[in-house]
Amino acid sequence: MEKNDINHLINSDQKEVSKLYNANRDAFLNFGKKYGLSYDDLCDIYQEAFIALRKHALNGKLGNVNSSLKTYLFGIGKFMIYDLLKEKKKTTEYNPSKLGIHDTIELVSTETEEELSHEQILLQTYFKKLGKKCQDMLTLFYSRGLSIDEIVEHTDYTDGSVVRSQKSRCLKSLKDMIKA
Amino acid sequence: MNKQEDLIEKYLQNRLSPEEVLMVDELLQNDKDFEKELTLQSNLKKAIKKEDDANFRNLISELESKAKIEKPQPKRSYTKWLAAASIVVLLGLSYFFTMNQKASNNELFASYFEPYRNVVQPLERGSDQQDKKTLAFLAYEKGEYEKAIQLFTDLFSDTKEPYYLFYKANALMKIDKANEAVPLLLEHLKTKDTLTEKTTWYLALAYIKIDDKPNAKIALKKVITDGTYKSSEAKKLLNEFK
Repeated sequence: MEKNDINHLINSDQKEVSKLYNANRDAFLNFGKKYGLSYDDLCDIYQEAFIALRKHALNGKLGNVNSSLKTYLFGIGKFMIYDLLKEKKKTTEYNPSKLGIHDTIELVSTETEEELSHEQILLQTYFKKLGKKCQDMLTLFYSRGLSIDEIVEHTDYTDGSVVRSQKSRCLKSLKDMIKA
Repeated sequence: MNKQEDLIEKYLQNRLSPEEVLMVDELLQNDKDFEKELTLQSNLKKAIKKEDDANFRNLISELESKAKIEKPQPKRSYTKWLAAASIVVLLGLSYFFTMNQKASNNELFASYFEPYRNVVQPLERGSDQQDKKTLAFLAYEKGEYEKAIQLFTDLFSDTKEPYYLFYKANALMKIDKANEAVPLLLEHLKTKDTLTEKTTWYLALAYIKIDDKPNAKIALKKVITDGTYKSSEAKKLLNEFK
């Protein structure tokens, strides 16, 4: 998979993500049609699959993937299609080859999301009250997993020590909110 | 930055060396403040990940709304009827315009068409296995096409195996019902089994049989560009066919 595409996803680069999203949408809706789901269901699944794709990028799962982004994305989508079909049919295990559906897309499983604990929800609320600079800084470090050096590369901060002190200032403001 | 801060930073980004993992374990057991700080920042990591994800989700939802506006859902049923209606009109017109050529197209059809051999159900002599599938292909091989068509129809509605469409279409063409074969072949083209690459050739013949020249030409050209099955015959036929 293209390293650049993975980075666009991780950084949530609006322009590039938009390109990737639109480039594969029609093909996916067409791919999903044969499973007999409605257009609206398939649009929902495409969105969820794309969101899951970014999570896999953030968790470092895409670095060693040999298939193309499209194939991998379709694999997640197919997994979600099966899930929905199982849910709708409820009783029976879904077996698409019986219906004469053949494609070579390999399934890519996704995990269901963990709910936040009470404390984590509070932290999320405080986080949203921080200034934009702090939010951006903490997001780069905590969510996107960029090292201090990578943050220097990615932003206008001049060097690592500036980044470190900015980060600890932001963390301190957050802790002050908790105490208050 | 002190060592503890460094350890927490590495812990959060999964960059600890094996020795450092041991140090973190040690500190977690003996240093309450360290434990508190690590827990806080781990929780913060989860909270910020969630927030980052929610923002991405908003971006995607915007992109989806835009996409729905720019490329609305094709109104399938409507276009299907329109296509069907236009085929009927075309058929009607081509009937009047090509009456005089009918004989020659029929001859062409007859000289090129041969029902595709049974590759699905090998029939063994003396086998007493008489299930429906065997009976269907037996009828097909013996040239009892009416019977075969009936059985293929039942089998397709039971199993949805696409190859039944293909063989039913072949049988229909053999008994001069090419007009009924066309929709089956078109349906079969949408599926992907080992016979699909042969379908376009038979579709072309069916169009010739029903004097639908424009579609016959399109189908023949497709056979030639695919180049997998009967492409040289298709070239020859395209030249002969006016």
